Amino acid sequence: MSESKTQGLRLTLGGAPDTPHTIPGVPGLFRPNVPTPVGGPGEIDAKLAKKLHDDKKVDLELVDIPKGKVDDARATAQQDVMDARHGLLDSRKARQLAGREQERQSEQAASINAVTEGGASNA
Amino acid sequence: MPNTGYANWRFESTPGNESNTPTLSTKSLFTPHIEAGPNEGIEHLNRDDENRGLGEPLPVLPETYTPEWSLEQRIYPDALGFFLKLMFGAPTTATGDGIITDQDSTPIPTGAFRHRWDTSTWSDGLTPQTAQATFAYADQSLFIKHKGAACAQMQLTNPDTGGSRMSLEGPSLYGSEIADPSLTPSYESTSIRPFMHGDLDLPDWLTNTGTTSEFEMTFTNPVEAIRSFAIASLSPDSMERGDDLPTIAGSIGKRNIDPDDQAALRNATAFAATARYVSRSIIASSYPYKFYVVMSNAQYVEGEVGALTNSRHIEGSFNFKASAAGAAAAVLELVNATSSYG
Repeated sequence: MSESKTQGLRLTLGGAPDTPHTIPGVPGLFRPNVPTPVGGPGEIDAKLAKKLHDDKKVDLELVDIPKGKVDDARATAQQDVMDARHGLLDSRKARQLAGREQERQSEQAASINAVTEGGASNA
Repeated sequence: MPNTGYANWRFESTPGNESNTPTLSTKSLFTPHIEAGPNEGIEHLNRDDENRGLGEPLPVLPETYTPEWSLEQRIYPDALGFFLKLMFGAPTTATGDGIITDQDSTPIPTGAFRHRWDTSTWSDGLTPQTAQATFAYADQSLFIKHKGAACAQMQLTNPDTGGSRMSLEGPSLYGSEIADPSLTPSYESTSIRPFMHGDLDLPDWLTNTGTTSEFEMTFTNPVEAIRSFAIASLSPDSMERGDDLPTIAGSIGKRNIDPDDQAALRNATAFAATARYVSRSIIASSYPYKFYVVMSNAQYVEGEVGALTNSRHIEGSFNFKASAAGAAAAVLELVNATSSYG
């Protein structure tokens, strides 16, 4: 059996820009070029990650993260969460919320909170 | 419980109609729209004019479908590029490398991509770009697919609050109810801001123009959904560019009228004009998302001054359009994080 390796979920939405994305019902944020690590503290657990990978309706792929890139991937994932929080705070302040966007904001808030409250094992 | 519906868009290799199956693009967009919807344009055959010795209405029959679509959302950089391609065709895309520059001659870093549309080439050919759109009313279990969706108009408005908006509409060739495609939408993080009123300035406009109070732009791309007897269908089967020219135009409101604006209207004075959005969201290396509309030869085509009243401010409003006089009427340039709209 190989050494414990770190895996991550990569967004496979066709043509997506290399920016963080949310998926309703799935905790966390995901990029096409930088996998979001899974299995660690505060991260999606490996079982859910595999389930998301196997679900062909969800544009996520479980990939191995090279050892030398794990720290950078984790830092990116954490920064994306922080930036998303600021985005939420700023948009609420600016009263941009309207209709479907308000619902999308709520979904994103749920995703962020699920990730940061000790990880998530349910989609 | 949030609405689980969504709208998904993908470019087509050729306009889709009832019978063909165009190849769809890799690029797939789930729009963070405020409102989106299909209109199937259903018109049934009414036969009440027939002499059948009956004094009652006759059953109608399906006869024609003339589908259309519309969408309103904030101006998010990725989606803006998608719909600009839908209107004007594929952009010329360059990858940021710290050497290529934007319209301000600022180097564009790695991680950012410059997409440019030049009006001097945008209307080549009879067939416009089209897309397949899926409107999923998921909670209501109603799913409508449009094939051959073209974009005839994009309006960009900049209210003081609520974010700058783009309103889009156009005809489609074929619309139908479909089984649940079971797509799972993904949306860019809300940390990627839409362009807003406060991101917009007009670094180039008529010299000594009056103080601006409002600004909006309308891009048109005349298209026609036609029935050519190529296939037997109750829906149009072919999408073509219309005879009218595509236009880059808009309107500008003045807080206080100025004789220079009025003279420019009367004399059809041409002036270089630039509308520039610079986002507060960064793509990479401190370089923000940007969108430019650069008009080499803008002219006022209509206008009016407010009534003469006992007021310190008397407003005016002018419609303008971009015209070609030795150079492209307009260059649209979008710098964002999307590497390709293929």
